[in-house]
Amino acid sequence: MGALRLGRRTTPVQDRVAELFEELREDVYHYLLTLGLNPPQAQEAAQEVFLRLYVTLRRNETVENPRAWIFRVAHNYGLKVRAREKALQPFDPDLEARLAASDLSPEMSAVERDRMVRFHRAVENLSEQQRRCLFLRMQGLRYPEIGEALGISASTVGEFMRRAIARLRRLSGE
Amino acid sequence: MNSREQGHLSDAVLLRYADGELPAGEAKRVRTHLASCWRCSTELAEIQQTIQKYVRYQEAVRQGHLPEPPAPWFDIYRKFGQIDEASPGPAWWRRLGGGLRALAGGPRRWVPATAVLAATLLVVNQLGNAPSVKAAELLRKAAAAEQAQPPGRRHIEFRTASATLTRVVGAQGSADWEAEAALATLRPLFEQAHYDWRDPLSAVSFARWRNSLAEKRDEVMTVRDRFVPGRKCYRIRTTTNSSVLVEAILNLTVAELRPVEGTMRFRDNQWVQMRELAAAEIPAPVAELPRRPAAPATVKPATTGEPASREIIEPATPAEELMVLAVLHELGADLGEPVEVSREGDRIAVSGYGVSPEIAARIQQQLAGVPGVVVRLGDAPAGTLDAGTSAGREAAVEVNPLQEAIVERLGGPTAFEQFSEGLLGINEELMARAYALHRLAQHFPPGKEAQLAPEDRRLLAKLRRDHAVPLAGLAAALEEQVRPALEGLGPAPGAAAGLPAASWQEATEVLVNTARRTDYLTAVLLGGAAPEKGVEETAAEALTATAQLRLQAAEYLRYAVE
Repeated sequence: MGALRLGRRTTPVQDRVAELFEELREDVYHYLLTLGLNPPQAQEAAQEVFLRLYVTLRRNETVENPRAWIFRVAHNYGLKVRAREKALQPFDPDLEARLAASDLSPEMSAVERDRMVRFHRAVENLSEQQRRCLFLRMQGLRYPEIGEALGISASTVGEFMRRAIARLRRLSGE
Repeated sequence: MNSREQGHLSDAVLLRYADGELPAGEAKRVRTHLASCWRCSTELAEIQQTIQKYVRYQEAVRQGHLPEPPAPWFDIYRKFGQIDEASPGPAWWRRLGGGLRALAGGPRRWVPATAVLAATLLVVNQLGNAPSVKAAELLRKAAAAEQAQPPGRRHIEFRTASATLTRVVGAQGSADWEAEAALATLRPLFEQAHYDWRDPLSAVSFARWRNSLAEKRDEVMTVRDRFVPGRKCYRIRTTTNSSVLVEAILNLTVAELRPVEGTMRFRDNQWVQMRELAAAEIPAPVAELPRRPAAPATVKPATTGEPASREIIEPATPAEELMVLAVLHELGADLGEPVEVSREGDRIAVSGYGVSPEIAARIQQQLAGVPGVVVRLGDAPAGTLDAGTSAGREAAVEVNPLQEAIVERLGGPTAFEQFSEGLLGINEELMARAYALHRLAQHFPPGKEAQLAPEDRRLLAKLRRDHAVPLAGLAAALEEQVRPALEGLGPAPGAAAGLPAASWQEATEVLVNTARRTDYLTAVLLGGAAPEKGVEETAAEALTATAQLRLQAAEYLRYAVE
């Protein structure tokens, strides 16, 4: 069974995990950055998450929704890494300035850039939980899956989502 | 389906609909409603616009604004090979390193005291950047302010184990004799403690008592005001063994150092809670004393700076009062905005300081010029104390053992931070909903509600429903957050009591009281308030109270219909 890769036989489980790794590693990396990990930590943690998935599947454990599983593990692991490190820097404190700078988004008009900066500030004003819910929703996770990833119930996710959207509407109001 | 009959859809429902999270039946109902309701379909479009903006923002952030991974991604097949080579079981498991073992749920780490302290400071910061000024210094300033400008006539609500009463203090010689009589049992205790009975909610009285103590311990922290959204208070707590009054808590507003809330606990476990009533609350009859007739509005209409009154203004009717509340609800000004609605003689006053400019402008637009309605919205009074200058590190922030147990239970300060953030958010909104319901109940006691026309009663029921539905969800969320953190720390929680009530007003009172209790217990869990009891008892009590709130909030839904 399994495909041949560089002369070695691979298993379906390996192919499945490798596929997910290709598809999601950037998203997971991005998520870990937003948790406050620095780029090398975030990359290392992202890689470990997929190895952990491999180990789990290899033990014949069922993972019903690998996407939700991956973000849940990334979330927990990211928090552990963050707790271990003493001085964590936000990944890019100058993001606002860079969003505002014309050379980095030449396709945007000045008005659009203004809006983007305002929106950025509004997002920064959300609570960490609210930001996580939005981010995971954007990754295609449904409320129960987000809840599973963050260790809260789906109804609580709904509540965070509602408050996040209401705040964004208010704070970024045009 | 007619949108007028059904009322409008809440943003929670609209967002769930947009996200495909509603059950099929409800989604169909929403779809039908949207087809007939411009307002809700516009609201939905705005929610979707916000989602689009968020997606565009995330994409823009990712394109060129986020750091690339610093190294090439590893060859995952090679790693698979390494894992496979190691024999399955503990050997390769160990190779995966501590991080992965932790993921698998290894034994909980011992949490060093410094980490707990860090978590505590963080919570205090979340409660409002603890300025941590010393109790004596704060009291000295507050007492000086009080003596320079006596607060004048104030309505103070007293709550004891058996009664809730309003007492007028500060007026020359005036006293509410009914209240005096009911509180008489406490008077000897105050006197024995050398605590001024005539005006207990006072920095001067508190400072005098505190200064007389041979031995005492103080705590100071910054907390959110439980009754006025957006207001922050310094909370001074002094405990002693050298007085019959063993614990006293005084909340001073950060802006003016005005005492607005206090709790006194005596040696025999008798206690009294006091708080200053806002103008909007004064005319309302006290729910626990139904025999007492509603007090007539005594506050004279303020005339300065208002247009000269037109001809003769008809006294505002209950229906008009309801209209004002409904407009504020439409504008979202009944949640978390310091807007008060009160009767001033024949008129209805809408007042507040520090209301967000956008909301204030919309209130002006909607209500100014309506006959019988006075709108007075201003900026927040300037602070008299620069919180930033005080020496924050000197604060004696205590790590309460309950909090320590929770940090350990949750697996460390980071998890605790997450827990506290979630809890604070839920609690804040829950209390805003509870107070919005409380306001409705106070504005419309049964007698006054009976004067309303049927369609107005329906409107009032809709306003109730709009708060009761999210409140039920929030209460469930609160319990879900609290349970895993506390279960097993203490004895099994007691049975949750339901919501027996003859009217929705009475049910609201019970519900709000339970919410106040969970609010206090939430503060205790997060280190923002001192526990009254030991770890086990407080944990069990918090579990009982949150379960009770969830049950009552669910039961309350049946009162949220006409």
